[in-house]
Formats: sequence, structure tokens, C-alpha cells
Amino acid sequence: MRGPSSSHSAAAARIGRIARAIMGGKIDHVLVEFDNSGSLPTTHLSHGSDMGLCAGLLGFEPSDPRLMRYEDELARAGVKVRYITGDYGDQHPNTYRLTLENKKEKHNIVAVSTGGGMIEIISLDGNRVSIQGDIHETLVFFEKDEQPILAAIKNAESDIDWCIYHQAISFIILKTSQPVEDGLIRKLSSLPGVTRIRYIAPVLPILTPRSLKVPFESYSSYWSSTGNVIGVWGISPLSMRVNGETFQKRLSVARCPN
Amino acid sequence: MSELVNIMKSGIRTALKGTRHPSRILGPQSVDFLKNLQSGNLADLGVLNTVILYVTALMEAKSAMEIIVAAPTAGSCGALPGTVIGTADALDIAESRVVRAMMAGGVLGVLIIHNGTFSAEVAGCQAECGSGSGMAAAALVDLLGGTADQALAAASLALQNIFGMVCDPVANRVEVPCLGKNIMAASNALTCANMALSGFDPVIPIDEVIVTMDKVGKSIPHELRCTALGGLSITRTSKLIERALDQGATEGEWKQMPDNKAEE
Repeated sequence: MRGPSSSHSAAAARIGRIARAIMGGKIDHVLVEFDNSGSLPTTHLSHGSDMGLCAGLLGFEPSDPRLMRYEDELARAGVKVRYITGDYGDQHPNTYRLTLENKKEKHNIVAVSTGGGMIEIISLDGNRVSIQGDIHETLVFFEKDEQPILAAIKNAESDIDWCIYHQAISFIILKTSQPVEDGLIRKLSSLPGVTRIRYIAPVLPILTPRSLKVPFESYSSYWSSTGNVIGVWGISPLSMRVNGETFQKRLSVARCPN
Repeated sequence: MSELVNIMKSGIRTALKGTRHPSRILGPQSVDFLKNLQSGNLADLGVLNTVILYVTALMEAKSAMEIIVAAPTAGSCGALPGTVIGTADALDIAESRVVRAMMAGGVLGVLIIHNGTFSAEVAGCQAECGSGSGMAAAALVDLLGGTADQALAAASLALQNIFGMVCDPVANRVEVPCLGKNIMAASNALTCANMALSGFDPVIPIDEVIVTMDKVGKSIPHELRCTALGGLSITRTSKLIERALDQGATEGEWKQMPDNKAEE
């Protein structure tokens, strides 16, 4: 990454990239709202949140050298970003409330930067979601009836987990370890009532596999599960990944928040 | 992981050539430290001098917008890599051991994130430089050939020392006191690694230390959790520098700005 703060610059860039994906890459206006009780009203400029978020909205990676001239890049792309602060009762001090608009659509996103560049989209258009950028996600917006969509998903041979949302706007989020196959996307697009489909590529460098168990959460639980005396590096998540396994703190797969 | 170690080393190399960036408080101090170290002007601190050099270089690379590894965060990007790579260079330890040691440090990171946070906005600087110190202590023990028990003991010792560390960035920038705290985290890691390697007893097991650390962090007042609303952030000089930099003063120039407009 580049920038002064991972929880501001890198995380904001990841939130921006997901927001861009949800908008299908076309953004005219973005309203960003920060809760007065959080950290961002006083730090979003000097700690690089503005830089990271705008770079992400333009589709840049957190390490892109264009981060440094993001204001010019933003102007060239014609994207207008405006900040206001207010009292929203946000629980996390690094909460981003985004209202994104282009000529055809508008979406509301609430995202949190949880530290070290990790993020979670916790709300999309009033629905409580959990998008952490650690897996391939496909949004299928539809008008009323999800049954034809679910039938198409179940008929497909690939392993797909999904969550269904119905607040204000209806959509299904498909969670997969690879991008959903073109054939299924075409099939879903052709269904009556499906209004649009948006693919959200992962923004984290290491993805969470679909079936996964965290082997230990504390030193004592590790110790009691193995009893082996090996170098501490041997219990590293990265060394486990070499053996075909990996884990991260939260598992976003097949977890549909209420 | 070896790719990440390469990024860390590249950041150190780049910064030691001297970096500049507008809107930065500090100049390229790592260059001066190296000169003074080579001229014999500094106290002999053994490997710690190389560690100070590398931690400073990494923090300058960050502030110059070079590519860095958040380890565990950008504000604490100096302590873990600077300590491990600095010690390995000073003692001529192979890179493969450095990579392995970073993984050992990573284990500590996993234990911390399962029970807490890396976000100073949630739990103060102890979540960032503090976590980095614990991770570096475990990594060092591994680098120096210690056992897993010793690595976890070193981490427990190191984390016990950083409880309550506040986040109060000067001029609302991630430079001061962040650089000093990264170096303190590195020094703490080195001393705790040696303590653990010689059998010092941390008394409180690492799992209990980590859970307690999170509770303590969350009890730090809002003003001292990276909001720039308390501590050093609101000193007269901090406000003066902030105003000068916002008015376009470049690195170093803020020292020459008239101070009579600073907010008290």
C-alpha cells in the first residue's frame, strides 16, 4: 500500500473500489458522511482517507502511484465528491456513509474500516449485508420474485452461496470462490424481473476459501489441539496456506447477516 | 511472504537514499542517523542502532508515499520489519530465516486480531505500535532460534509494557510521535526477546494479556484515539505546524513560520 494510514488510506481505497463496482463503474456524484463521534471528521484529509477513497472510486489499487495526484485524476474522470458530518449513531469510529449517483441509478452504502486495511460493507440500500472483499461477490438486483433466480443458481453446477435481501430494494448476493461463469450470468440477465447484475471483485490479496474452519483462536487452544512443540512460525496462517489451507478472522462465506 | 519482505527491504533502501515529500513534518532523518552511526558519534547499542535506522527509514518511506507493508498497519509499519530485518542484517542472518520470523510475528497478529483490533481509532496506539511490538518480539525469538514457548513469552512481556499507549498525532499527521513510538516498540521487542530467551517469566499467559489489552485500549478516551482532539495533537506547536502545512509550507519550512497565529 501507499499512504500514511492503513485504516484510512488502504481501507478507504478498498471501500471505494467496491462502491465503484456496485455502481457498475459509472459514478457522477458521491456524498460522504462521517459521524461526529468518530475519527474521520478530523482526520479524513491528513490521514489519507480522502485520497484512498477517491482513488478507489476511480478503480485504483491501494499501491497505485496515481494515488498521489488523485485530485487531478478525479477531476479528469468528472467525479464530484462532497463531505459532510452529522450525528448518525455509528458504532465504529471509522464508518463511511456513501451516497453514490449517476444518471441512471443511486446506491447507499455504509462501510467500516476495521483496522490494518481490512474493511466491511455493512449496509447496501438499507439492507444489512457483509461484504469484506475477501471473495468474489455478484449482486443480482430484481423486482419481486427471487424464485426463478434461485432455480437458475441451483441448476448451475458451480458451488454458490447466496444471501437474499428485501429492504427497499431487492437483491441477491452470490458468494463464490471464482467469478460466476458467463453462462449463468447470461441466464440470470435474461430472467424476467432481473434489473441488473454487478460483479464485485475481491479487494484483499488473500481470499477466504468457501469451506473453512479456523484451526485455533488462542495460543492455549492451539496447544491443546496439537500438543506439538514446534517453532512458532510453524503455526503461522501463511505456512498453513502453503499446505493448502488459510484462514482469516471472519468468514464471510454463507453468512447472511440479519 | 518473501515478496512482502522484498517490499519492506526496498522501502528501507529507498528511504536511506533520502526522501522528500510536501506536507511532511520530518526530513530524511534516517540519512543523518546513518552518517552519525558510521562516524562513531552514537552510543554503541549493538543491533538496536541498525534497528533504529531501519525503523526510521520505513516510516520515512511511508510518509514519502512509497509502497510499504501495513505490518500490522501503516502507522506502525516500522517496528516489526525494522526490528527483524535490522537484527538479521546486523547479525548476518539469512533471508529465509527473516521470512520465517515474519510468519512467527504473523501468528501473534492472528492471536491479537481474534480478540482485539489493529485500529488506533478503536483502542489507541497500543493496537498499532503496541501490537507491532508484540509481533516483533515473537518474530525475533524465532529469528534467534528460540522455541514457540519463548516466542509467546516474549510477546506477552512486550505487550504488557504497551498498555494504555494513546494515539495523538502532531499536526494531524502520522509522523510524530509515531516514529518515536515505532522505535520504542522495536526497542521493547528486542529487550523482551532477550528476556524470554534467557527464561524470564511473563507470569500472565499471552491469551490473557491479549484479551486484557483490548479492554484497556477501549477504555482510552475518544480524544486520545486518533481523533487529533487531545494529547500532543492540541499543543501550541502542533497547531502551528498544522496551520503552516495547510498553508502550503513544505517539509522543514514550518519551523520558520511566525508563531503568533497559533491557536492556544
